[in-house]
Amino acid sequence: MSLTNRSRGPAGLWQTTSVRLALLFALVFGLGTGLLLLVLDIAVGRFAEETARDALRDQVSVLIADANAEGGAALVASLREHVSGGQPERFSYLVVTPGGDRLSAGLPDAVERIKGVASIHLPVDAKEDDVESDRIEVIVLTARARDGTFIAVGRDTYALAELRQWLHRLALWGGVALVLLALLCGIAAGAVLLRRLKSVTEAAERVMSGDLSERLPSLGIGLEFDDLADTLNAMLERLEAAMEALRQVSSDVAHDLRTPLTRLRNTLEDAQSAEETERDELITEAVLETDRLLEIFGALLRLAQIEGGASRRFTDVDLAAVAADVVDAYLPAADQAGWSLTLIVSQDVRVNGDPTMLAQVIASLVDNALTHGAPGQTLRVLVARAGADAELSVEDDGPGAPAEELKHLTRRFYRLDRSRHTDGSGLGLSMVAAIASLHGGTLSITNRLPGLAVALRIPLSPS
Amino acid sequence: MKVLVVEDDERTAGFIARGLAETGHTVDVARSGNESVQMGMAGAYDVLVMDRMLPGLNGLDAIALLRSEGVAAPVLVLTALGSVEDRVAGLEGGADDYLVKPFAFSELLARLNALVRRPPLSGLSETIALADLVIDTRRRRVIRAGKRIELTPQEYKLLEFLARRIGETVTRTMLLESLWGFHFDPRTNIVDAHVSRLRSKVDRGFDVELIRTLRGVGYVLDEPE
Repeated sequence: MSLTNRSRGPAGLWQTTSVRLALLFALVFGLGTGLLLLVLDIAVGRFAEETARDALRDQVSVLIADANAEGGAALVASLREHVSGGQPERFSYLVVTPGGDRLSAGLPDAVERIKGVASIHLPVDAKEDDVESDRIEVIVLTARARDGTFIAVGRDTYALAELRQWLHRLALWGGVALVLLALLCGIAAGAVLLRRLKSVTEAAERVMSGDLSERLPSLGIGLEFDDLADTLNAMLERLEAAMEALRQVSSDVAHDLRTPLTRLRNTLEDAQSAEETERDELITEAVLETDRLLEIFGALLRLAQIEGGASRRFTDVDLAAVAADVVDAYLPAADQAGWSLTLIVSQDVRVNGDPTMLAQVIASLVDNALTHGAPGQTLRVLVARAGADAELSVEDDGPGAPAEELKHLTRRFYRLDRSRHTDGSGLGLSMVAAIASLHGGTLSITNRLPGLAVALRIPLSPS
Repeated sequence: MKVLVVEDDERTAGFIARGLAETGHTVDVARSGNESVQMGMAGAYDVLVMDRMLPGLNGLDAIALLRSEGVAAPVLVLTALGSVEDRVAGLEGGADDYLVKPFAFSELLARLNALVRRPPLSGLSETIALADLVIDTRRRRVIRAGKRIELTPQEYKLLEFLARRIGETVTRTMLLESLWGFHFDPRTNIVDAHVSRLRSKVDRGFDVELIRTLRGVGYVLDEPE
């Protein structure tokens, strides 16, 4: 598979996030406009109808009052006069008296069958050329006067129909414009994003082809994207460090295991040529040497696992309780060796971590002090809070370490000259540092003059 | 006891078989997972030593198969996979105990003995007596020759652990793991220091020494013959 040639055809473009987003936006805008129109349409219709009814009610009650006062025939006569005035009229009428007088202005005879309110559809008046449909809704209200005169008043809805028509047009063109705008914006934003992402992709490809020191450029689009780039860069940083560590380990192993293996070989050679009496002793020595080698291998393996982060089993840990358990375990041995070992806990300290590993940190640091110091000294294990961190430190008043060597102490197989003759793999502090880093913490080693202080800081539990 | 050793590496198998035979046990060796299932079902063994990585059927699968066939003998899994995760997976996969290669033969023997004689957990007795030593585990009281002995909680824990395994060898690793939860080897010999403290209270000043050290192996709480 080619890593660099991944240009997209038209079908590929269709699948890019930006185009999909643009389409989604367009769809959402379109639907939104439609919905808005629907709601407006219903609301306007209701309002218009209510207004029309109110007007009709007023008109009908005026006519009824007239008819009651002067009789149906007089009403017909006066209305006829009014209608023939020729003014534009929003109302239409049908009045029928029991005596047979009849006035019909704009309403068909069929409305005589209506009781109360009804909507009827009539052909559109030729004057109303703005209206596009050929029938118009007319709301009709009917009533009867005391003398039995039938009165019907109608009101057309030309104004409403026009308003509706205008609304529909506005919504249609506005909707089309909005959808187009959404599409354009989506595609433009996508193009910008694509171009920026392309630079990231290229940088990532350079990393893949082996240049681990390459870093991703900042996207400059938004905080989240820059955070992503930063996170990815941090990941690359770790990866580079891990690769470097791996190189380092291979060469360390090759160099530092050579000595004990040579020693083992020499011992076995000696045993081959030794007298019967000496042979047992030499073989025992060889077994011990092998055990030490296996121990170193075990420690290397565990170190690799911790550094690889493969064995994370984090829980909420009471650091003080862990320290107390380890100190309890070491007390008799420290006592026997003439040390004074104390635990000092100032506060309740809880961290998110692996209790076994944290116990191993304390054990390893106490081991170091007991191995390298002289009897009669004091050794203190301290657990305290330091801001948002938990601080676990082990202090002795032993010989300390030369200042220029402090920073090398956590290196694999690194040992001070004066402790080369003592037992130990030179991996203890590497392990402690690896555990600290697995817990998102730091390890600091300082000379206390006299003595050495090794402090582990890891974040407190969030709770 | 009758032991089935399942191990594909000939030299390791030979080493274990020889050691077990020398200490008076009957040993059969199976070379593969499938073979171990056949032999395990046929031969009424007291305990099995099972390598985890085997040709064909792997160790944990073999255990599952044996269990499904009704073989109840305890199984100690012996393996080069030594991380905490591997151990947990092994124990959850049906192993009764777990020993990581490289191992000392004495450690293996002690663990096998412990497995075979492991009492059912519900049947833990409340009072343990050995010679003139009496341990009341409910009230955590220790009396020797009629006299009350005051022990620290750590010392008591150690004594009860030994007393639950009278006559059995208890190795340093077993104590480190069970009593202090140390799944790593401290360089300081903390176990010896604890035992010598306990001994100074339980054994010093009495005629018979009940806690014995087995050099390079561990300890045993026992009444000398």
